[in-house]
Amino acid sequence: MKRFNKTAVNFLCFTLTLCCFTQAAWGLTATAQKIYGQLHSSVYQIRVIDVNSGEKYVIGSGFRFAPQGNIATNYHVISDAAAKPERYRIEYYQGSKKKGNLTLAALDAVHDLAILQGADNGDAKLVLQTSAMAKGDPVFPMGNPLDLGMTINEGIYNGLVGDSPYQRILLSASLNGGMSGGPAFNSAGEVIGVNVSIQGNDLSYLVPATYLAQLAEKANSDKRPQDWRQTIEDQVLKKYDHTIRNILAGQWSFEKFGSLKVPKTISADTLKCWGQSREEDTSKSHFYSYGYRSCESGDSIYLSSSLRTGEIGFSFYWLKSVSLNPLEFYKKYSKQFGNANELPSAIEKDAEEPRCKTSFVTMADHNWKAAYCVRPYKDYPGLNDIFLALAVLGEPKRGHIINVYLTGLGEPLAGLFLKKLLGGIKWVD
Amino acid sequence: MGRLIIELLASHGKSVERRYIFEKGHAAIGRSYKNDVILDDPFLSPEHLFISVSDGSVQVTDLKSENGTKINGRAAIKDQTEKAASGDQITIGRTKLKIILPGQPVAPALSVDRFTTFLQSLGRWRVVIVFTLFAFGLDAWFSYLESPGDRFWDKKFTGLLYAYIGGACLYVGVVGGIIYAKTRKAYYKSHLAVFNAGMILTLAYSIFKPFIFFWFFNNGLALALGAVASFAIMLAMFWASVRVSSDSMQRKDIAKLAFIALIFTVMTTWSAPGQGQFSSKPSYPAMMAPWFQPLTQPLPVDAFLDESRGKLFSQDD
Repeated sequence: MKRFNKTAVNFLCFTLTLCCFTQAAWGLTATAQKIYGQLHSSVYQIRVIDVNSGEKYVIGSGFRFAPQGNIATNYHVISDAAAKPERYRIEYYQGSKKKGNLTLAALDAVHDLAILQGADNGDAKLVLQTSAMAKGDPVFPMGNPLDLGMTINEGIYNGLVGDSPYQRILLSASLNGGMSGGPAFNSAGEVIGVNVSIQGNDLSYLVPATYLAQLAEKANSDKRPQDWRQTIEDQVLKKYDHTIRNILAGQWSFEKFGSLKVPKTISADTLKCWGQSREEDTSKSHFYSYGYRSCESGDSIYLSSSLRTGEIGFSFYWLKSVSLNPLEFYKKYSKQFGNANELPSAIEKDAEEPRCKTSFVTMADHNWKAAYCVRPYKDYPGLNDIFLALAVLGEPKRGHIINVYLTGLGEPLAGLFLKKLLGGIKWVD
Repeated sequence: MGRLIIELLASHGKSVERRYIFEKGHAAIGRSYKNDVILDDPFLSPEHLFISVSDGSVQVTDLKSENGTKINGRAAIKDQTEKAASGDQITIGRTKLKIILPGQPVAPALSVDRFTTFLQSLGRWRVVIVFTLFAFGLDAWFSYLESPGDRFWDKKFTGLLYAYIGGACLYVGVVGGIIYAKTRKAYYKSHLAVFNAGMILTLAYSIFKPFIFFWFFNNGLALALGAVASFAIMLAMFWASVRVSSDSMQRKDIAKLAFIALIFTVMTTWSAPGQGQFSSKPSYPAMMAPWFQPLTQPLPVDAFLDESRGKLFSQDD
């Protein structure tokens, strides 16, 4: 009832491997022809092969870049091979010709990057860009969409979105499934970023090449064998640490909502807020009126095809009734309090069942019933989904519910955020 | 010669279906119309049995019957006379008889049981109709309070009525049927009264429930308490339904009913949606009640978070 239509309002990114086919409207320019002609031999199709069937399980794109001559792609293209190397192997192709097998040399799940190594490092022609871009500059993404063959496209650079060092390049171009991991060039033929995701009409995102350069440098200086799960866990927690410390340090403004004074904006870059309300109308079976505000971080981190993480959200909800008696009102109020729909769902393969602790608590000079739940990840012992629900007690025909969720983190980060958020809430009425 | 009483017993159980009194002190039993007690049992011979009393002792004589005569379950006699005593049970064919002499002791009179009287009054049609209307009215009123407004009459009332009729027919039919099979009498009206009482009890429980569950912080305990409540209501209904058909109930009978109620409770609790399946959504006891507040000053929310964190995290990092 109170949930928004997620598909309509949410700021979700769909990875290219999942997206569908749209028609590109640009013609090829002379620059695109030149770039394609000179550089296409360094761009490959990446295939993740299911060892048992011998067939491709996931396809994406990748490219060989200077100076080491390793191959870059997206983490989400090869995530299955990283998690289960015994079941999947990685191969790269030029046209329909297999060039060789690849192994994972470095990964960055948070930026969605992976560096792969082959037996032969070949001739690394592609150079990562260092100079700044301006809005409106042309960009030429390349990749193998839907297994149709290598293509080049033309789009427009529209600046960086998000919060440094976790930014993405916003590109107006239509990318398609299979182009994930492919390079996007500037007019000089330097790689400015890696194709990563799309959203809406011709809204695409690139991972800036800077992050790839950093990952390559780190991989080069630290050649110890890595426990990829631990690496991913550390990366996710590091980003959380950054996000939460930013949110805590940000300027918080408050506003009245129902009887409460609640945070209005806490970090406009990270969290987007939405609201809705409804009047009581028994002829439509609306037995109470409500107001609802929710804030969510749009971005999530891809861990596997079934698990995304790194999301933060909270909501405030007041409800009151004229038509219901207190007992019936409380039945509906309790039901709403017990409905933990805000927390994104997870599947059995990835997470344990949530464990909860319930108690009476005091907050904002009132007594509340509170439930604090933790859903641990099976493969990442340091990562948990956290959910907190609070409902105020006492008033016979009016209630307030607060829900907070954070996915894929641990303590003390969750506690820092929750205490700051709840500490700012005051009772004003 | 003395008075001889023969009781014809029900085929199942021990209740007396008919009682024959012979002042002359003897009686012939069989399928033939010459007998004093004429029975339709096809396993009897036309002249099967002769019973006589003299000087306080009973003689049972089998008259060359086809299937013989059993006294107190012993081996059948044929064309023989055997001694029997007051209170002995005789089996001929598929018929069970009891021989009683006037001196047979009887249990002292019971004081009038108010509950039995009450249950019997529920068996009157007028009472049953009024009670049913009252119980359904209450059910409808509760449902109206849950979703007040004109839509209730348009959308919900008919469904509620059918559900009530369906539930009543199911309960009365099943319980009445079982009791009929045992006692040859169904007591349908009383079962309807019991069903109504069960509905009222359930509605009353729905009022108290939030005020009880308000204090529960453990999901398992809350689930168990709910199961106990539904078990108690079910057992009370079964007990009352069986009680109307028998004057006294023993522990053994109640244990049987409890067993059936337990099976139903376990079935309904375990088949509840989500039970036994993986659920990624948290579930916690969320019941609150109007006006209710914790009895003691609760923890500040920060302290609650710190306390929970220690207990919930598999690994503190």
